[in-house]
Amino acid sequence: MKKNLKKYTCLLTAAAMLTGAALTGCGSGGGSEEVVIYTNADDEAMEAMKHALDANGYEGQYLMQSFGTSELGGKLLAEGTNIEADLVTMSSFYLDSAQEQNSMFQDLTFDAPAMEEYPSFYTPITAQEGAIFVNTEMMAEHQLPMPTCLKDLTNPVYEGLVSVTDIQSSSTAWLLMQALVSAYGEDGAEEVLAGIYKNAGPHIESSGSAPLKKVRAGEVAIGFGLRHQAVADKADGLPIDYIDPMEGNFSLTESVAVVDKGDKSNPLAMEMAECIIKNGREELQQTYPLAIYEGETNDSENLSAYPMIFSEPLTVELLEAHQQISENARVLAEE
Amino acid sequence: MLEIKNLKKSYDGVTILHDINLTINDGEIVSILGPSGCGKTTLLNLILGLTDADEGEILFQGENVLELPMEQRGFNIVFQDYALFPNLNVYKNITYGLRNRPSISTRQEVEDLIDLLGLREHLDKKIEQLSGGQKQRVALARTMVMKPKILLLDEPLSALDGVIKESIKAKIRQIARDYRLTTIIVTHDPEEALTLSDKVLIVQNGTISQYGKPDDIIKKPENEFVKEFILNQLLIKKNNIFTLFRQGNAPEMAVQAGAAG
Amino acid sequence: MSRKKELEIKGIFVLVVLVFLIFLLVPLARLFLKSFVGDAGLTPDFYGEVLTGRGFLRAFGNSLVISSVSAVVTTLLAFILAYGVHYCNLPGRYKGFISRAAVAPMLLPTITYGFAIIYSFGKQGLITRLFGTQLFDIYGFNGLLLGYVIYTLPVSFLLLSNTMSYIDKKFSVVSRIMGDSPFATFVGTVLRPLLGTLAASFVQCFFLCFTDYGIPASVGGEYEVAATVLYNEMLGSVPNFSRGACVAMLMLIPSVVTIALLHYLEKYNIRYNKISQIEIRRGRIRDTVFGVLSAVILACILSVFAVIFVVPFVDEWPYRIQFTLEHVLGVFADNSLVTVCRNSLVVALLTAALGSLTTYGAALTTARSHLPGGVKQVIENISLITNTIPGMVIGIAYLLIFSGTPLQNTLFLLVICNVIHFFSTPYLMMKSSLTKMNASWETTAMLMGDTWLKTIVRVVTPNAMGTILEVFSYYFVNAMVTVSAVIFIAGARTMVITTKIKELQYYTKFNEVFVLSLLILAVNLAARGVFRGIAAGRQGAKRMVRRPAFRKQKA
Repeated sequence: MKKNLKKYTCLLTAAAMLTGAALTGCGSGGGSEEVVIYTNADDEAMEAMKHALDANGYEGQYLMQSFGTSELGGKLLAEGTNIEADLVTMSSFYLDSAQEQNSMFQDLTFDAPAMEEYPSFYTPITAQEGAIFVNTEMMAEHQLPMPTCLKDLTNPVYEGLVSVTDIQSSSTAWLLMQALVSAYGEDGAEEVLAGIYKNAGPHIESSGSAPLKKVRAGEVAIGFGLRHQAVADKADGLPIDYIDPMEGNFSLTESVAVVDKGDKSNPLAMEMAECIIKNGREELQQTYPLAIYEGETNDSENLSAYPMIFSEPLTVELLEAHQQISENARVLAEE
Repeated sequence: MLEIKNLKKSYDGVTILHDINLTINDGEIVSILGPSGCGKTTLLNLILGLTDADEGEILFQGENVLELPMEQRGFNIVFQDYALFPNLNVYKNITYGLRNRPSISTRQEVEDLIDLLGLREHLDKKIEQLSGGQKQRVALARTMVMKPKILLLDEPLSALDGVIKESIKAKIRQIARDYRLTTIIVTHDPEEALTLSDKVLIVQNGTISQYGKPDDIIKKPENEFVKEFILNQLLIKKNNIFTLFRQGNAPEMAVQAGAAG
Repeated sequence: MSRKKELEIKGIFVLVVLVFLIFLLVPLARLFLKSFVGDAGLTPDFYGEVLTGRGFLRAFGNSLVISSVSAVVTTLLAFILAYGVHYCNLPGRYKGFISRAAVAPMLLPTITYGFAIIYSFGKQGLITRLFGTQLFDIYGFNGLLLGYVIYTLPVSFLLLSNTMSYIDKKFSVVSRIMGDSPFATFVGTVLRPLLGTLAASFVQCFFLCFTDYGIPASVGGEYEVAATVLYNEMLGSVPNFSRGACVAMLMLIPSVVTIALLHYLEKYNIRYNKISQIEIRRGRIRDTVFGVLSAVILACILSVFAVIFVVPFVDEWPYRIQFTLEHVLGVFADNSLVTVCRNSLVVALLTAALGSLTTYGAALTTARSHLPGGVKQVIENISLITNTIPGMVIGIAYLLIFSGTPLQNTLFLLVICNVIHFFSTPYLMMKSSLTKMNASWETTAMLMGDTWLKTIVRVVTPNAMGTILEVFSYYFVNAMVTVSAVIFIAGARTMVITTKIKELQYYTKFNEVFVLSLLILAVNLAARGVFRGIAAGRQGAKRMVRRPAFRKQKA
């Protein structure tokens, strides 16, 4: 019996020692000095930001942690200024809601001459466009016509072969919605969307990246999502192609903001935000070609065919209005 | 001397024991006999201290022990299912209590008990390797090491078969005699009770039906219950055995069994 | 007197309840409050909004239906597997295989189940390719059912198998001799004693399905469920915690119903004094039927995971299928992996240790004390509630409560979150094992001069060690694979492997997702091997016990 006890205690001690090791391990890293960056950015954008920071002497002084948009959104709203991060990059309108609810960001102290007007507490790092993409093998296999616009996706030949995102759960769908509302007005958008939803059937996804996943996996032939992801897949040699819809390539920005932690704010955070904007944009533009700042040009080979900007500011209220259109369209699609 | 005075116990408004009065002298073996549900186990638990009484007194050597917690009364019990510890071998089970009170029994006393109960050859065995009779003897030894002031036995024989039963009976008697130990046994078997004990306490519906020496109970049953349920049972047994012997196919050793030890 | 005494167990009870008060009830109460608090003070409006929202009631109804169906199917399948192990004359090795394979899905993160189904049964899936045609439509009811069954089978099998090993099989013989028909025998001696566990299995499976978000997100299709609504409200494109909290609260309703139901079913639990091992009757037809059925069930389940072993080792499934180690090497080249792995191991070990202690303490109070029934019921209800709260809800509630406290972003918070989130099943395992032990041990040992605590250490714990190790292993494995709550409370320095997987999933890097899943699988297999080794060593040590020289005495 003594032996058993010993083993049991051994297990416990081992566990305890491991924690000890882990905790001291963290402590000795001088953790509190590092600037913690939370980001929802894609891999390419993270790489670009890291390159900019590392090249300008910040290597080893920050810790970059990525999250899904929804998880990071949840954390921002729930934690407010208690959040671990000193610096956040995130979809702009989430930053708006977080600021409105928690007043958690500082005004930026550096100049960033953007072409559009942005609030004083954030400035964009990327503008991400929406596009249609297809699985070329499936298109051939099913002998499907290539769509040229979003309205084409209502064509019954695509039934069960289209995947889009639900605007209730992911802002990627907003790119689709903006294009439809711009082109067809609110009522027209509802009708077209209902047609698309009818074709999409079980493939109305909650995650922004899910349509591309399904196109890749050969589950559907056509999807709508972030353009740069499809561009990357095509470059990678996958049977993926992308189509800029005639209704326009609308875009959403992701921005950088500095958390206001009062006295405990890390001054390096603001410097790093500036560094990312000043030194990271060039590389970022390779993946996200849209120009955002004065002096930038839209000359990348990856440039979309119909870049468009929605006529109204992209506020949470607008998003909610567009969500309602989508809900109506779903009811319509079921009839 | 153990005296029980006006002891009462009820559970959820149902009275289990009404006003029990009883005296047990030192070194006596007393059996508590009765049908299932008569309250005999409750009485045992009350004496042991496992259950709280509603009213009454339990005096041991003149001192009321009712308010004393179980482990301070100094009584001990062997449960019907023995409650041996399967993670320990026979020897460690027997000497379990010595870990807490090393001085309660000397080495010699423990060795004597092991020999008395015939456990020498089983000391290294695991509990699951033992037969029922062996388990009973291990449990007895383990309890005796603690030198209880009163030994309580809950249905000590019910799970054992014929010959083993008789040998365990003999061991119990021997222990009670050798150690001059007051022993209280709960049983539902009249034969067991009347052949093993100095006195028998017959309990029915939470009251004492009769309390006396086996001889008195056989000869002077005080009420219908004792006659009907206790004596009648024995009579049937007796007749059965007589029938067997008259047919002449009774093995001789059966007569010996009672005396075997 | 006995009642006045049990001070230690009362202490343990208070400790256990305190832990759950701070780390379960307070966060829940915070959410409850949140569901009523709007900009203009207290209001029931959020409930109105949620209830009248498009499809909420339908999604809720769908959830009830699919979760019930899945729970029934899972319990049935688990029953077949467990019956094969405990009541049939199958070869010992095959029985061992069944026991191991049935719990295998538990060793992989649930995050991979959805992909695994799509990559197996989808249009271009591995199995679809093998058969040349898609076997069934994977989106909607079918896909959910498949995913949920795989997800819940291990828990159901663990519970049923555990109870079956404690059923006295002699009763089957008695029933046959009494002239019962085979069916009556089966009902009377197998089903009836199992009724309590079957109900427990149903309940556990039901809530695992009811609260899971990952599987419907992948294969739910048009069959909307409550968890999806919860996700959209909590974390959708316009997060609204108040409405999300309403959904979470409404999702607690089934658990209230269940608490009542279980209370009612409690009396069907049968206890055996003694387990007799008897030879299982010959029954070639029965053995063949159950042997084959088990093989089919396990083949279906394991085949779903086959793809995980294929995809990461080919260039780009399903388009370029030449072998490559590029993805594997790529994952291991990432130097943040070391930290993440270390964190995962620390969290898993600590969760296992603290979880075993908590469940042991809780089970001691319910199984081996004379505390009043109402007090024990508190623990039972806690156990049920932990099982009925979606991980996402725990995660967000923790954010609301513990942000700004020193606990924020610590490994400790991850550990405690896991301990609470997974409490239910190990608690049931522990309780059932402790209940089955001889009830007189504590009394006997106390008469031998033990304090209660000493008895627990010297007698109860050594005899419960098998189950304790099982619980330890259960907690370890679950801590390794969980993500739903952890994703919110892990900080930049306390990330674990599954949160890493979530990141990779976000980048749609499935090859890497599968590589890390395999890494987790390997760790879990190794850990289980170690735990089993310890258990076996213990058995061996027991057999070897020798009588030591007599202890020194101060006579």
